[in-house]
Amino acid sequence: MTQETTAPVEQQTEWQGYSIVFAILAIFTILEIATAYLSGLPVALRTGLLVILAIIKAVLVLLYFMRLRFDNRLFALPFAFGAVLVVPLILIIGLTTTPPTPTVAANSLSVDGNVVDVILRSYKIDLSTDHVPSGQVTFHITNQASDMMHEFIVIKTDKPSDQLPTNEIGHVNEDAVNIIDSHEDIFFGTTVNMQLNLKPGHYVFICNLPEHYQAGMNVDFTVDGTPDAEATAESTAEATLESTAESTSEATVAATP
Amino acid sequence: MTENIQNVKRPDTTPNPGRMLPQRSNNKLAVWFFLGGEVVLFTALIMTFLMFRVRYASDYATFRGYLNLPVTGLNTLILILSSYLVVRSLQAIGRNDRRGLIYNLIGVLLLGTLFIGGQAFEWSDLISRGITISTIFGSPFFIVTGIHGTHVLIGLVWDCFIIIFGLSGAFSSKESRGVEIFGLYWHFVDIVWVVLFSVIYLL
Repeated sequence: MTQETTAPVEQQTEWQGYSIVFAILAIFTILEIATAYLSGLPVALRTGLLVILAIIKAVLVLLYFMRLRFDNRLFALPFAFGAVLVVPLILIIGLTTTPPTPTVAANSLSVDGNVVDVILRSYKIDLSTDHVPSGQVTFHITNQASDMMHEFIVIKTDKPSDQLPTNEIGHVNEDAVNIIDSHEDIFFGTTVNMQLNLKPGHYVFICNLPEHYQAGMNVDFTVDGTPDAEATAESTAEATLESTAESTSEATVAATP
Repeated sequence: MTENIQNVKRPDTTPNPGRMLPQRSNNKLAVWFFLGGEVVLFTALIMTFLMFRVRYASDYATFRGYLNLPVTGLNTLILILSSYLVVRSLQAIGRNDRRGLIYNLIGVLLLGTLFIGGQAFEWSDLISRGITISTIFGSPFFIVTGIHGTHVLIGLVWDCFIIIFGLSGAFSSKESRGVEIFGLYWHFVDIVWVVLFSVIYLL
């Protein structure tokens, strides 16, 4: 009789215990969200508070919902073993992930014929020159932003660099502009090269990663020369090619017995 | 002689509950081993995310601006509530309340589906804003939350099986291991989300 009456009481107490744990978890989650919105808190305090709240939540679930507190302690061993394996994992990732060393001297912008040094900074593109003669141009593009990835897109357009057509979220609409070439995923500290045969005209260089274009990563660039001169150059090149081909075929015919 | 035989010390074969595991707990121990492996997997993923975050702090600040904290906060509460319902379902079957077991597990199914729905909403919102898997933070974000979401989906399928078995009367106060083991998995998925929520959205 006594057992019959105490069992429901124990169940009731147990139920209340889990309800309290749930209430604590819910309140802590609301506190975490509120903390994220509090802008006045010092960063260290805010981070510490969030880490402590997350640890308490995880431990509460582990001890009470997963019943580790009441179950055989042996069950905790495999879990702890997994947690111990995490330490070398963290060390390996931490030690093997070193920042790439810059491959060009910092802040060096040189003009050398049709070679243009491009330095991608935090929301800014610096060029060694803003104009070159038409023809073969080599771009040495270096990402010197301390903690950003960038991309480099060359667009031929008559519009100023900050007035390119954008979509509703502020990115340049890449389908609506004439992209000559692009290089994506330029990690900080790295240099990439791009070689282009540019005709005379106005060009714009941009980085179109989220919010980079709007923040100022756009710059105007001019390729000097006149379209007539370009056409003349093209026809000269074609003529040279034709004459070379003709002389080669003549030479081949002459060599044939 | 008889006295001598009686005095011989025999090895103590009495089970010691504090040191030995009963045979029926072996599958539970196996689940804990599995969860230990999962700890390593998720730590590797979280560490990768953190490395990206540290190296590209400014890009991360931009990326954070795209994340939907209210929706994800609500999603976190939903997952915690579902964990609580799993506990309630185990308690229900502990007192042979099969109806309570089924109702609570259906609640888990609904809440888990809501969680996946919330995640799908956030993903589609991010993709429409140009954050795809090929972007610097899109890549680790979609991989980490995607693998966690897959765990939730597996849990939901598992939950369906538990409900079907529960309806067929497979569980009772004496046989509730199936529910208990499912609960361990579901709670673990909950813990992982608690950590992910802090690392990705809050810190």
